[in-house]
Amino acid sequence: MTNKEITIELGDRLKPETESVLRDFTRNRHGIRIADARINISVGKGASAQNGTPKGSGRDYSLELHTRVIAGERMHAAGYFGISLGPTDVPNFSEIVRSALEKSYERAMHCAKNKFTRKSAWGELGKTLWSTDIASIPVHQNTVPAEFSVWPLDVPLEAVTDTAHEISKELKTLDRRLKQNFIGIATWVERELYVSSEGASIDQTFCYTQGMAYVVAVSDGGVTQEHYDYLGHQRGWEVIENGIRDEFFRFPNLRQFSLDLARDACVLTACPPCPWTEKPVPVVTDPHFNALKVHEIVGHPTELDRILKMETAYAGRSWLFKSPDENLIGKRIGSSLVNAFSDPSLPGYGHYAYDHEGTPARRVWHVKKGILVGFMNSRQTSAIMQDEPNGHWKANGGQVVPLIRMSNTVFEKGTSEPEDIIKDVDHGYYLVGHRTPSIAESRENFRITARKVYEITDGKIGQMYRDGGIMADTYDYFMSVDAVGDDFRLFPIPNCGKGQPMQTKRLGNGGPTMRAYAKLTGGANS
Amino acid sequence: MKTKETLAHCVYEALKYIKTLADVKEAEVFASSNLQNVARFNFTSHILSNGVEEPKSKEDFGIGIQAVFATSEGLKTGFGSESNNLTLDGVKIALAKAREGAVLDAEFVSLPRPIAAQRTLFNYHDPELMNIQDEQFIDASWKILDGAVHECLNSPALAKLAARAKKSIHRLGLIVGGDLTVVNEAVAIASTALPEVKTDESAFATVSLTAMVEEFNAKGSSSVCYRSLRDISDEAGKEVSRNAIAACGIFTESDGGGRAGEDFREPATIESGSYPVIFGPQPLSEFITNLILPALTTSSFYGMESPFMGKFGEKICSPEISLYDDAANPAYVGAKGITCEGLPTQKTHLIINGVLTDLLSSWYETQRLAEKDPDARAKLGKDPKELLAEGKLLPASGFRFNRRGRTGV
Repeated sequence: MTNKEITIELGDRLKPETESVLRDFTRNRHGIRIADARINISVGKGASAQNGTPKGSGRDYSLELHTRVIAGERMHAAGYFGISLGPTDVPNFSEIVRSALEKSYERAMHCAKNKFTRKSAWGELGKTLWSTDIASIPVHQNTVPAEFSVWPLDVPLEAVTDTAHEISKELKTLDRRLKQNFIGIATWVERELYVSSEGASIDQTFCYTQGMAYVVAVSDGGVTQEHYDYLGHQRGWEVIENGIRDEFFRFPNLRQFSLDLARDACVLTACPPCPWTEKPVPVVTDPHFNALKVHEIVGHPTELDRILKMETAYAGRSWLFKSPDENLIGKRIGSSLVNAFSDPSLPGYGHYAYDHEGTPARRVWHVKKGILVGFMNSRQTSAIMQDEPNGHWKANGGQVVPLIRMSNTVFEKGTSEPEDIIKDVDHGYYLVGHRTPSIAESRENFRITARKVYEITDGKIGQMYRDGGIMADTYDYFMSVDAVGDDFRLFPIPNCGKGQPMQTKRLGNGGPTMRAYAKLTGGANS
Repeated sequence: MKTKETLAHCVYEALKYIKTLADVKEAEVFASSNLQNVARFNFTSHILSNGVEEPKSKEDFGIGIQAVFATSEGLKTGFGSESNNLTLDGVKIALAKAREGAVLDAEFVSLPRPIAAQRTLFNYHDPELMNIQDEQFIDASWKILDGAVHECLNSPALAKLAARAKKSIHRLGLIVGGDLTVVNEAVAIASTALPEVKTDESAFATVSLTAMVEEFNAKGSSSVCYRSLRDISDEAGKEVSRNAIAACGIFTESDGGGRAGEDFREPATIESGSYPVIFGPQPLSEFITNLILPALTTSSFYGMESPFMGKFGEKICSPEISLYDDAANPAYVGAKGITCEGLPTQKTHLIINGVLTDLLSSWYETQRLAEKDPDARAKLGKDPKELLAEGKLLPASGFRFNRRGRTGV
């Protein structure tokens, strides 16, 4: 029977079918190390409005399949296959999975044959070609439900459309300096199935709801301020209507969130551009700013694929690890107040119980009391490093090969009151809200701009500046951290890009207020 | 991959059906089939690696419908798509989604209408590349990597560098990364205003490589585009290794002592400051792709995001600089016969001798600026209707990449 639509419930049928196909497939093939399949079902709705005019809305679904086989005769290699499917494919799903596995298997076998030839043909440079392996993990069968108050699929499309339209209309008349606004809203459910030849069967469902506000304000004198920000959570429609207020998140509803951003943009057009400093000065950075900072200078350089040079041609390498013989593991890279980890058990965009190869997800410490201690990994990179898999192999959809990605990567909270951190500064700057990062290839230095920069004089916040930020060598910056707040917050990062083809992924970052030393970078007109 | 004939049949039947519906005032039907093969390279001489790391692919096909519906509230526009179903059922589902999500977009003028420009590009793809087989793809990937590795193995300069470092070459930390990507696309499109079904097929391959000699912190890159399977060679691999090795430093011939390494000059570290800088083609293309082109679209002018606001017809950079976009040139990797709105592609001169002369645009954006935006003249610096009369702002760049079938620039 043909399905009219793709539904979340369809997973109940596709999971046993896939398990059965995998069992048969691996029984009848030789040389297989592992075969696995991921199925991603997504159902949701979204709407957008620009300058008070609705621009589009819709309800849609998708079904995607991805298979991996690691196999070979004398050496192992991996082969992958991804495909987007529709309701008409459901009756033939078993056959499609079988065909996808077959494709992956043939690719793996042919690649392994090529690799084996080069192992000797490349002489001394063939020595490091290895027979692809993956580290062992406990094999689980588990179902993990979504958390929500208002199920995204119960929200009428009209309510989504009207919300975006009404907020955009309100922004249009808010302030004559506000020249452009765009509001985007999406609320959806994803069900991820993972089945492996090892016997894993993981069934996870997630709710996502996200709002985005984009504004451009222009002063009479021609000063332009372009800002955008997201609110979002692994929850239902309540995120848009009520905001989020819990232990880790503090967001107003989308209307207030958008108005706050727009007002900031308007006020900033009247502010002077931020000055530059020749030398590092005391800088206090708020949790929103630190979310992007931890993302760029802790998260990315502690992804084990970068460590192992697999991202050299794309995202880059890591200053933390030159080679197995020359690296900073176990060495001091920051003051004793610097603590950072990735933790999929925290809520938000980076939350999950299992990654995309069935590894139970767990917290991995990167920096403990200033000492570098560990990396996010996958089963394959874990096998190379001979450490324990910690469950960070994630894809942004059901059609593509996972990569090592951040879950919730954060600075740990400290013990200082944020007000005291500012009060102790004779002269320095307070950076509020992140804007744009610019990071060195190996993340050894960085420049990040802030939404707002305030001057601190005698412990008090004073003049506000626009278009400012900080830059520093990562090591020097970490070593100079001398205060960490107790105001830990998490933020959604909806658009972390990595991979080829590019995978834009949702994840979480956060931290508390922090104080350190960095050079202040100024606005273009200063 | 679905053939363009299959896609064309779907579009033809869809349009025939849609024309029978009283509430659909305008409609555009777009069907496409896409396949992307990617092999990622990861070779490291000092860490275990796979060489060709990931032979993989992703593919999809489907139908998308943009329609204008007559409703009691006025004309509403909506878009709907359906994956993997090119039958009339699929058309009805896509249309139902478009109808359900339709909105009163006061800035919508119309779906594309015929324009004077004629299509110039037909049958420009390599059928062999369009139908590339897995084994051919994987073999081509290893061939590229062979080029990189053999260049290292046979390089006298790398041997001298290894001697200088007192290490064998595999301990110098040689890295080769990047990918071979083959993109195959087929489309068919027709609309109530442009009822003749138009089709297009394209196939291209790109090789992007980065190599390093980590011992010397030296990096090189190479980037090649191919339109034919037979053209894919190991040259990009050889080039990337040559570039990385060259970046290690220079051995001079005037070696008085006669021993390798004595007259070796490492690259100098440059102090911060202002210098004359010469950009090679690769960094230049980064600038153009990420900084310049996003500022040269009608949507960026509408949204007041361009640094060139109000500068149409004015000098915006050095007179040495001229910039054009040309999707109609079959030699280029971005060649397309038609846009995803069914209109002919063309060569668009964006900057001539430092003067801003045109913008990339889609039908929607051109119409919005010309007909609906009261501030358009101030935003552009010229009356958009006058520019249209001069043959500017033509919608030659309405494409649908990564938007689930929605049109963008």
